[in-house]
Amino acid sequence: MQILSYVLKRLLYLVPVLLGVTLLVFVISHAIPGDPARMMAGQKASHEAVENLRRSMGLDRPLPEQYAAYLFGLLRGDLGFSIRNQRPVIEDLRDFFPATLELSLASMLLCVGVGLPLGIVSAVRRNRPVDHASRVFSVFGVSMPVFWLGLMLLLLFYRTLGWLPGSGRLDIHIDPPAQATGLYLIDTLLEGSLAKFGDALLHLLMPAFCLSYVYLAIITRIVRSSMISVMGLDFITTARANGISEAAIVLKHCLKNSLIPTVTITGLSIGELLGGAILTETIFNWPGMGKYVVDSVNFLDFPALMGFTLVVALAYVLINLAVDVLYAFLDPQVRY
Amino acid sequence: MRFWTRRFGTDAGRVIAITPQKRKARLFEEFRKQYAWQIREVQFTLKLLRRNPSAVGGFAIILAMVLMALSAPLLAPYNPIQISLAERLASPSAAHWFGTDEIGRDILSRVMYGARISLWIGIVVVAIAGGLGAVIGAASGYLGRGVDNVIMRVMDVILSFPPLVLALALAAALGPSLNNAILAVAFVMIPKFARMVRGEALAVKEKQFIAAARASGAGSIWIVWHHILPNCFSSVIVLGTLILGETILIAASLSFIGLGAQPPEPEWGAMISVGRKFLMDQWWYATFPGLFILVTVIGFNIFGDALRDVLDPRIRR
Repeated sequence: MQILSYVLKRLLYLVPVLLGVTLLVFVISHAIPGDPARMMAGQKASHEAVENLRRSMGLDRPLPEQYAAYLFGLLRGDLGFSIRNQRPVIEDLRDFFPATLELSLASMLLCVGVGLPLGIVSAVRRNRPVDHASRVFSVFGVSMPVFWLGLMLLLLFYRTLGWLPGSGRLDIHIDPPAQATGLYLIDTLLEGSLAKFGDALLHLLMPAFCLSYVYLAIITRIVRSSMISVMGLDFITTARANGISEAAIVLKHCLKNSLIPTVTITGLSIGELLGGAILTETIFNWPGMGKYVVDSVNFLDFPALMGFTLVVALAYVLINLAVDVLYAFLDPQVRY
Repeated sequence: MRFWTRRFGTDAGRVIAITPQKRKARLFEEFRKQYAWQIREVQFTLKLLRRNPSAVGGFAIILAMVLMALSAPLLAPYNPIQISLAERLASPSAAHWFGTDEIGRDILSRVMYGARISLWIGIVVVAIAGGLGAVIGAASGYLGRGVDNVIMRVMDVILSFPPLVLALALAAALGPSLNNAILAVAFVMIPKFARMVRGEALAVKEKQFIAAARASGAGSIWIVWHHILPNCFSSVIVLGTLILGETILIAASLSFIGLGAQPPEPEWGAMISVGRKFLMDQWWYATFPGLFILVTVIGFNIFGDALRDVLDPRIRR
């Protein structure tokens, strides 16, 4: 009951934030650039054409009215019209979303699958060589320009060693699998083609690592520091005095209690991965939303950019809400 | 320091004829006595920092980068925008340590000048975002209630965007240029400072000296400026150091996408953006500018972390 009312409260609180997010995107897209109609029509368009476009876009009405129209459009799923592809932005994003989702999920898996054990080992072997190595690894991670890391990976694994393919989701000679989930790893398995699955996996490795490295580093740090702070508490000493094996102490007593900050940071990372994907997808030519948005920026396709910005912000807000709720379930001490 | 000692100095009302030198010496002596506690604190912090290897390492990196940026015109072997088509895309050699780019400009010289741009972006962004963020946060925390609610909801909205995404949208809307990129990144960073300072302000405002100041008739603006903000100073410095690293990364990312510094400016991210086209055959082009971004940001990150450890009273001693 308590949790339910907490969730309701959080949902209510979401309303002003969502309104604020749409308002900010609206202000950026409608108020800042000199003249959206001129931008939409192109530099060479005649004065009348621009005026007609302005009227048909409703840009001659006062700003609050435009904002209301924008909001109602959003409720109907209208994110604007892409200048570059000449179709609604939401359809574009829908097409590009699965690739980004696959990349983000793979990165998340890497983050948790590598970051968690690394953090635990680092905390248990504190101030030993393993710990120092993992700390250096994470300092590099949080300081790494993602786009440069991608290029260096390409140089090493594609150019020099030739182990991994350098761009796209599949070899260009392989037909993409039938669209079921849009995630190639799953779709190829559904088709029963192991060769295609292997190819998709090889294509995924470098981008996924590149995207995950920053958050991998952050998660390793958080796990390490929260494990260390739990390990210093009295109940661990008691457990040791009771003769419980060291492995059980670390995995059961410490890990469970240090999971909460880890869950928070993991949830935050999912949202940030969407931002990081912009750079990673550009480097590896990964046909997802991130590459789409960079291409749009270079084409001055503002509706596409703003649609993407809004969708990412909404996803970010919802994920944070989910994390907060999960947090309430995980930690019996949290009272609201 | 209690606020009234500043307004009514201990000399107030006394008129004594003394020489300017003597007066200066006395003022200095008085300053030392008045701030004895703060001076000891700073000296102690510096001592702890000197003993902390990552603080020393981080500071050395930062210092090296700043010196490189300041003395680029003296140290750089070539003019960073000097075109020399005969030597284009030359691999690293004794003449060109980091090789040359597609129109024969020396990459080492460009990287050295690039430090000026990156550090400048970092400093300006932190100055704008830190200054505005601190004032907004302190006002929000001290005034409380309605003001606090409104300001913090606005900050929440800005924090609802992944930093790079919002900076990208803003920079694109403002138009591609270095100054617009600086504005965009600064806007994104404001809430980080505001949130932290607000937290500190909430703690400070319950202290007795605030009540004393209010009882003496001090107004809200005066209290925020003279009591709340100085007490948040060390946290702002720590956060500013860490944000400086993040700013350099985001600004370089914007330039890489084509929204920050414009060619022929020797900005590191913009250089990598062009170098990417030559990655397969001219590895040095994209490699060296990125290496400098990495090292600079590492410097700010480890120095910032060490500074936080040293200034945190819970773990310092």
